[in-house]
Amino acid sequence: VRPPDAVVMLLAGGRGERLHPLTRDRTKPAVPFAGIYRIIDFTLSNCVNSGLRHIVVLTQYKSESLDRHLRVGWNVFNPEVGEYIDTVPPQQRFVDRWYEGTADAIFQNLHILNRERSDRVLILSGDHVYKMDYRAMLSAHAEAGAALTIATFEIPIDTANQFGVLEVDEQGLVIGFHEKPENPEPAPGRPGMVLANMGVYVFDTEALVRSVVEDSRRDSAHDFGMNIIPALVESGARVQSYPLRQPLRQAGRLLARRRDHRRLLRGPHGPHPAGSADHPARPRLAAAHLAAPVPARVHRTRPRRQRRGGRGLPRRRRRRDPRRQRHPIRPLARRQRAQRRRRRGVHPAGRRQRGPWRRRQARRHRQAGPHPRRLRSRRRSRAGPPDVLRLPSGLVTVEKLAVLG
Amino acid sequence: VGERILIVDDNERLCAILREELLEDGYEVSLAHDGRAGIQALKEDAYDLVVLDIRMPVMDGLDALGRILARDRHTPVVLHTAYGSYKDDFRAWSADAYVTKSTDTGLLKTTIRRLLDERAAPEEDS
Repeated sequence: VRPPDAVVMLLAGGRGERLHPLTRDRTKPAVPFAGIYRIIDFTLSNCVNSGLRHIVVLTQYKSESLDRHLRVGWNVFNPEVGEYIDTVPPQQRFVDRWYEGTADAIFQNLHILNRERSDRVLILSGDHVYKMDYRAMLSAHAEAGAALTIATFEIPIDTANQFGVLEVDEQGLVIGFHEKPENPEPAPGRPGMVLANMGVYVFDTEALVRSVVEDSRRDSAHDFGMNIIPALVESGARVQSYPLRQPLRQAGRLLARRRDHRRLLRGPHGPHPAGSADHPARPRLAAAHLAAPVPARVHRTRPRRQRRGGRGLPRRRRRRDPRRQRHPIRPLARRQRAQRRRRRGVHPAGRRQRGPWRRRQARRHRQAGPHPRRLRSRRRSRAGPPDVLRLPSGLVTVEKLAVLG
Repeated sequence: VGERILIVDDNERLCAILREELLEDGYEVSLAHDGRAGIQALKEDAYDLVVLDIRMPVMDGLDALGRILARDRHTPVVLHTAYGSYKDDFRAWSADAYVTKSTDTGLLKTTIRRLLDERAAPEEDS
């Protein structure tokens, strides 16, 4: 197995206090979103769709729900070719403490990078709702020969004090990084806008390790936005920005989550209230299904089970083909049949006889020609079955009846 | 002069030689023979510098390194090992210096001197 192009370190240890009632029992990335999904699914889906299948999920608080979700819902990685998704709570193998910040989470798991020996490391957050192709970012990183590439999105300049803001030149090279600045410079060629840090980073592994190791020796918050990036920019390393032309939603605030949630549910994936207008993206079939009336009556058409056949032993009942038309003349009861045979001069047990009696009878029959009633029945069958509709067996609803005419 | 140095190494003969040489240079030297004993020694006493071997019983040098730095991230640590390969181990990058063991202790001694001077320098500034 060749080493992966990039290992994904997915930070999923957020307490998510702003989402409080939703994060009472689970960490923020494990909060349900849009029905059956969790917030982390967006990032993981981006990873898988970008061909990144070496994923380390760094967990910390209330990770049981997330762990379970990843085990049950993301069991799509093939360990035989080295793919994996691992949840890694603080191992305390190197230091006796929890993750003290995003950079510390990486620092405490240097042994994973040691094992993987990939050229690049992709650092992601598990609490963002967005769509992105990381391959494009990885190749942009390689093309620029950067130590670090930061994915950015544009925000109005007056909201800059909520984000980490990048100061870039025309080539996208980062010349300054400011966490929650009051008076930032607008992005070149984009008056009134600034480039905000998405929290998606591609690092050269060596640059990453050097940065987090140095950071671990300093008194700092051990945070990428606050410590690692400013230090790296200051040190003169090549830090590149990678603008993403798409809104990103950090599922931070409850209101924002609710709004996104509703927006998603209103789309083609959401449930469709019966009786309302069709959504254009919904297939017709589903709409027809929803418009169908509630069954009014239920008919049971399967015949009652009965025993047939011969000498004391019940014969296995053959299942009748429900579509087969039954003969219009019902067979008579056995005793009745025997009586008629006797009257006719046939052996009372029926015609299945052998020996001289049977031969004599057969001769007599040949001479006499067909029985008048047989003739009559043949005429009837030639005239076709009567106009009686046999319903299929099982439950039949009103709609089925309509289909059958 | 008179800085306190802790040598953590399971090879007692090597420890004895190093101790003698460092004592000659005017350092105070203490010894510990595995990672855990080294951490214990650091808990009990303050040291200006730690010389740490990697291949040791009980707790190896890389695990001890993390714990030493977690206790006091300003103590300079010199990794002193016979193996050159640990240089590539990312965990070893936390150390201030990496010196391969040799019969000539000159490199180790100059490294110790340099780190102690560097450590003393910012204090003079303030």
